[in-house]
Amino acid sequence: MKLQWIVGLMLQLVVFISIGIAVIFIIRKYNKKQSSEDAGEAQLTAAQNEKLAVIGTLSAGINHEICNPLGIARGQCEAFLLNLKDGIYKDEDPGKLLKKAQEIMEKVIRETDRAAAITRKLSDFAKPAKGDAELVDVNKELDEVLGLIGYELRLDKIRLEREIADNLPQLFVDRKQFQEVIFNILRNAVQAIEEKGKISIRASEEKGNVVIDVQDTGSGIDRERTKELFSPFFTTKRHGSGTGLGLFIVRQIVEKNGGKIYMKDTKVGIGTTFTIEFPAASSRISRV
Amino acid sequence: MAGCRILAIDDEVEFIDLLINYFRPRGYDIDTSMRGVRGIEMMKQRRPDVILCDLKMPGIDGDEVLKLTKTMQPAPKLIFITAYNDGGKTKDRLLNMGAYAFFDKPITSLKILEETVNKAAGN
Repeated sequence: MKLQWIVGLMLQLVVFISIGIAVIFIIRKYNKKQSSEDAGEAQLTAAQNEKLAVIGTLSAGINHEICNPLGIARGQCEAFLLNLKDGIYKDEDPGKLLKKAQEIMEKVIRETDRAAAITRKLSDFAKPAKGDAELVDVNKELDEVLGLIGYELRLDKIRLEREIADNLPQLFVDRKQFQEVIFNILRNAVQAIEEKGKISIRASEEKGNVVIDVQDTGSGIDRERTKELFSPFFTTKRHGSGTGLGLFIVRQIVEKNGGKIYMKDTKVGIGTTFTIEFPAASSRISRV
Repeated sequence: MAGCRILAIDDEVEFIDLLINYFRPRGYDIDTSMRGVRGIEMMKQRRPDVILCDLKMPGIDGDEVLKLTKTMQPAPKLIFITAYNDGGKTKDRLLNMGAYAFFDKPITSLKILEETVNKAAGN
């Protein structure tokens, strides 16, 4: 009887301990999942904040890209109306005048379309990325990013060289995150150039990877400081012009999309080259 | 002032087209260049009364054009038309250095630009 009682007690203890272990295991697993979800959420928020800060710094260029075509459209209309009012066209053949008006209208449509295109690009870029991978064409996405940053380059007298290999394989990445990565690296390159300079973008296929080099003729980075490049809050920019989150977030985004990023070369006073590698879509999809 | 000789230097073809559409039918003799270096050659050859010049162009900038106009006899009047905005620092510096006028892009009144060109040519 006593033995039965002891066995029963032990069985109850085993059941209690098992339940306890199971509960602890479930709680730990839940906490782990929760903290990884929190970290992911924080990462997305930081990336989005950084992106909005970037758009802010580009406002002069973007403003120009919108205002200038609208200014030209307005000016073409104003020129025609003033010439009409001041009797400049008084001896003009009506057919010719109509043709002139038609040309002006075509120019106005072209310029307003130009302004609308940049606002579309901007609003598309500003939307948060969903983290969904899709087939992405490197050349096409470079065009999109250069459409946003191109004027900034011209304004800063920076020459852009582009060398993209023909028949480059597509990537299987989040399209918007890919744009963000290129955008950030290009922006860093622009900020590294103090006077006139050059930025070269090269993309080629190497051993099943698409390799993108962004090389600038900027100030370069001191060798001793290169170890910290991808650390949060590290910046070589003067106070107030960099949050220091750019490269830290860029690396997280690149790795999340199956790629890697590293600084290939830098020399103070000569410039810096960053390399971004992504596996071609064919190899990434077959692995998934 | 019809007959006034203008040289417009700007790398934006649409803006050059706008200036031609406005000034040419009004009797102005307007030459244009979309490249800074070519613009400088034209400056020396055509001897314009007034130069309408962008501030930032590949291969040349406003300071260089301004310095060059100072070496010419008679010196053409230089009017900058630009979207570049650094809070007025460059504008003040170039005006102090002898630029005749400074217009922001986009131009808000072609009439005012024309009046400024006429004043510059008449001075």
